[in-house]
Amino acid sequence: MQGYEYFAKIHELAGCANSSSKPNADFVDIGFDTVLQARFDLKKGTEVLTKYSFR
Amino acid sequence: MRQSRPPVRFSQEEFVAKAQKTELCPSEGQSTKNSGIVRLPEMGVHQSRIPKAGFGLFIREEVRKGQILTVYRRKIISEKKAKELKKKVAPFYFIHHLHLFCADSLLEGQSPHSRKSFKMLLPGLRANSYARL
Repeated sequence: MQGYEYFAKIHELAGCANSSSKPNADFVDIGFDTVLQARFDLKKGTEVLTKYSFR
Repeated sequence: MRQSRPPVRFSQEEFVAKAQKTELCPSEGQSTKNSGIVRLPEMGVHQSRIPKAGFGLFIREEVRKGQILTVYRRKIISEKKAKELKKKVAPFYFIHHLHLFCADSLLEGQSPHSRKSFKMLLPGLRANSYARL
């Protein structure tokens, strides 16, 4: 199972951040944690999108 | 004409986590730019705007560039287990949501039943999630 639905399921499990070619947030490692950091100023109601690389 | 119903998990329910503060501790040698106590904005989760993507994470207040939105705790696993999992799934399976949905007390305006069903729908948000995948 390597289709789109497979990756969509991963997004859901990853904590509700979805993948996009135009991300507005990035994962950054800080100590034992990984944070999701805003790439731009974002307005209320914006969906968080992160660029995942599927390897 | 018969119309199919959307899956229950794509209902329009919204789950909300209040704004809160958390402490970040960088490792030795890491930039201290994001160290100390940071404020996480109020966030909501409901159906994504991306087709078939399941739930989406939505900002419920204005956010500045560089602001931290959510914090995940990486899980320590053996190298052998990591290699096994890396063959099957993307690396971000190794993190779990630390602040947003781990504690029931953070969810507002939902009945206990909704909280329970939400957790069941998103098993990946549990601490030991990857072991069950």
